[in-house]
Amino acid sequence: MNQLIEGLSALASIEVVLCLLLGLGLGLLVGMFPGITATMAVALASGFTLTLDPVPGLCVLLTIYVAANFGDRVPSILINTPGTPASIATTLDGYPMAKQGKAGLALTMSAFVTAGGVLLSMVIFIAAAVPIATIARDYFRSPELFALVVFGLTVMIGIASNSVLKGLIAGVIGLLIGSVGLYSATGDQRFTFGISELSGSEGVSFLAVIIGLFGVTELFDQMLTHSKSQIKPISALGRWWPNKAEFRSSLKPFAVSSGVGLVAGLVPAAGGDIAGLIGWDRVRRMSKHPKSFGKGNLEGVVAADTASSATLGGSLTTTMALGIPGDSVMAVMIGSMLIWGLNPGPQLFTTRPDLVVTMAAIMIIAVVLSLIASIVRMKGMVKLLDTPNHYLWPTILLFCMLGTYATTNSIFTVVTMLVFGVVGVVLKRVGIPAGPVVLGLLLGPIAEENLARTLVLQQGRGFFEVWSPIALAFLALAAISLIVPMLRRRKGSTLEQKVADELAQAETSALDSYNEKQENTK
Amino acid sequence: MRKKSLITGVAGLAALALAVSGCTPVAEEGGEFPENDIRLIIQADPGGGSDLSSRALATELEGQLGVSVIPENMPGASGAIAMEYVGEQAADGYTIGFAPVEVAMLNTTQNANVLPENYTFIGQIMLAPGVITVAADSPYETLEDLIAAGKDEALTVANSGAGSIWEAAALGINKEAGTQFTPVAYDGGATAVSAAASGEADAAVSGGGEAIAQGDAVRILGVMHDERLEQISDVPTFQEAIGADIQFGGWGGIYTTKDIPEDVRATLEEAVATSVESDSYKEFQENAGNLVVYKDSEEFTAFVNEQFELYKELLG
Amino acid sequence: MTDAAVIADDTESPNPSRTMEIVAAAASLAFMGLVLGLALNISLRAEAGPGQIDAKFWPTVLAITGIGLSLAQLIVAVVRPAPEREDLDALQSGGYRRVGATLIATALFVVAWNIGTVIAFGYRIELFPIAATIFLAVLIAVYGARGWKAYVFFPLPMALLAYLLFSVVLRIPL
Repeated sequence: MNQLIEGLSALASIEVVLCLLLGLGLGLLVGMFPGITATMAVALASGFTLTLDPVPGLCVLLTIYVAANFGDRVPSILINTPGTPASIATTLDGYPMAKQGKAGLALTMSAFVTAGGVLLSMVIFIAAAVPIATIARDYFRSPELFALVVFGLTVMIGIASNSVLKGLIAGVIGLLIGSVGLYSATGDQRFTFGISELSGSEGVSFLAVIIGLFGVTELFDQMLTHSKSQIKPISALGRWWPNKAEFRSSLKPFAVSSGVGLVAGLVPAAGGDIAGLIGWDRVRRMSKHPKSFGKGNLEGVVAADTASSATLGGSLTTTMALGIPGDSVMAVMIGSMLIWGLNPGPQLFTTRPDLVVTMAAIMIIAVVLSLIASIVRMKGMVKLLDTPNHYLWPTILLFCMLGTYATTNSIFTVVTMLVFGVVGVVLKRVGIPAGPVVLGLLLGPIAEENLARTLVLQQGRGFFEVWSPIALAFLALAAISLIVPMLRRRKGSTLEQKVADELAQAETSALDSYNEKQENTK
Repeated sequence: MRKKSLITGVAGLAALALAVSGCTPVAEEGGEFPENDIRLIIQADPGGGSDLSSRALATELEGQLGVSVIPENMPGASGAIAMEYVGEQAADGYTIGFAPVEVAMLNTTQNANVLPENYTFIGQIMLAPGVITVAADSPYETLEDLIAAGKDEALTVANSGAGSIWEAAALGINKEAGTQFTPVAYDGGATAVSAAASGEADAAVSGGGEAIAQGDAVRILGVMHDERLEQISDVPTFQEAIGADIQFGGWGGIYTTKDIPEDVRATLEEAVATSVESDSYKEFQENAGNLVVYKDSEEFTAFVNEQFELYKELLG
Repeated sequence: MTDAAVIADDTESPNPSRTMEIVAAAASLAFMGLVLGLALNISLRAEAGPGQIDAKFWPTVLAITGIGLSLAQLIVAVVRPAPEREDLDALQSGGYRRVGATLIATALFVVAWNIGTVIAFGYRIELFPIAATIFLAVLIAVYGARGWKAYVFFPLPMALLAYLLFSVVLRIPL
């Protein structure tokens, strides 16, 4: 009890309030700029927070971490460009919603579930950080990670809405891009053609690829298809406050996705980006109308954002309880904490319980502040898109280029991004989706590394000694995810499916317009 | 209307900023070094160990040199991008960099154009000595146990990545002590130690700080340094435990382009030597679990060349 | 009024095209073949130990999978009618011109940016703000901005804002 009071009273100062607001502003801002990630903002801020005491310093860093998770949804929904990798899955349904004039609704709902996801995940941190993190470490080893990632790869089928075959080709392209660079198990160079920028362990810059494939591709596609007579529906219509039916239908996706996010958060290799995609796919598979996902389904936005934001608590838990960075932001946090003389790890919870309480409180306050700020500025954000295209396009292009440049301070990364922008348009026009490319790029290296490690560990041991029931269960799940849709496709005639989908769509849109009328009459 | 005045305001402010920072007079020749700001190239992302060490030193250097020392991150290709860049700059001492142990390894591991003769080494500023760790419930109680077992069977030893100093360290132990450890690459030092803690790998080689952070989950068996570490004073060195002089560590220092004028080198060397002694820099390195080990320009150059040959032999 | 109605009278979708499908599948096949060739030629520092995978293994498996998938796609493209493309918007006249002009302007901008600074009149002049201003002015001209106000109130303030934010505030060396 004493520690609780001590931990909370550490926050009662003007300095702390100022630091919270500073972190909030910075986080929301950097989240919105594609390319500038929370990791970068926290790293840059850490240069300044070093001069502060630990508590105000943590306030700035943790608030940036949380607020960036709200800010990055905005460009995902409005311009199809993930503000940070954590909001990749948000683009899948968020951007189609914006195109249909429901940007406000998508943004509001996204802010609500992001807040919900983070708060829920903080329960782990508060309740039993050390035991849960230890269990996660002891039971999620290389074989389990490999199996988990293979399971994650089956999400490809879901993202490829039109043709499974094209989706899989896209996935293989992504996996191949992921294999460029230094092969981590042996240190061999692959597909680098002597270019030193490609020869590191990251190979092709991940941020350059996502900004190119999502943001710049969409920009080029709009340039190709834009005509003067076209009406821009973006902010023209659409309410922004979700109605009761929408809240109710969001409950199930929220529950499913927060489960996905909690687990993914505890696994050090998986962050919000991977969790968002898996969460989106799980909810899609459980939905009665899987075909409406990726075409502007509000449940898709809920699923993606809940899962990616529910990783925050888990990441914080592994970082503070084990000293293993839960994601890239947390890796930077560890650096800062070391300078303050705080060693993240199991002993932090026994020697400084008050600090643990303080951190939990900062996270929760940051969530509440970010939610309020997001809702308040929502209308202004949507209005930005009323800017005429001849101003909007150059601005987006310039900031995408600058954001990419900022990740490495090298023009090479900008050129990479532009190349992927052009490649993305070609892929889009021939019907090959970008989602599986990014998924492959994200998961491929993790899958290969863990497979390589598992095989090294396998030497001289029995099969079941290495491949635990958890690993085998994930592999089985992956197989089921792959086979079931194929069987289902063969069974149900396509015509039947089409009629059913059509009906479902009509039903939801009728419900929508009915609710809208109700809202208006109120 | 309000929008327009805002835009005009921004434009005015921006024009001012441009005048301040966009255009700077070109320095005249002949003054005493340093006259302009110095750039400190960091080969890694912001926030990591190299970055923080460099920034801590940069603050001290500013006080010594009387000009701004601006840290600039240039991550990529395990640091090779930054090192090749520093090698190509004008030999005037205005571009210096942080050289981690990789400066002696990247030519061997990645075929990068990073050779000791491309640089002037100013001074070593830190050292993170290596330790070897096993899980708390591991059957190996002492370093002797582990080495003895390692001679009979191929034990797996986790490290922070292929081509890393800790992979080289595991291979170095094999060479000196006759063990047959299999190095297994993980993603970062903390992850490698936790793989040992969970029992996935039989042991892990890492920096001391990373092992200490894991607390009771691991048992640290030996230190790869010539003396014991203060925080874990009950853990013997390799020399003490098995009588083999095995020393590996993640060191770092300051370097610049080759063939810089002698007076510039001397000025920089003195500034680094004084900065390393400052209390705030020492405190920083202690908190991070590292040692402040200083070598002057001559010693450091000889040391880097020695390490270059060593890793060429171990990793080539 | 439902949302669907807005979209329907808005744009048209491109027509299904079998030729395009076949060309795309063939290109994908060629790409995967090329990658397989490159993958088999990766030079290894050391042979992998028994039972372990070397640097070639993963790309080779992927390339072979890719070849299989591309072949299947090629067969589908030849045999089946080309699929609907209702999720895409049709190309408009001037579209290629816009994208082409954007790419050329961007390439020139990147080159100027890469030069960094020039020394003239005894001053070190940062090229970025100047290049960015011209770049933005060219782009709004390509996208059809009319009137002198657009050229006065957009390119310069925007370029300087970007320069301020990144170079001065974030201290990123542009």
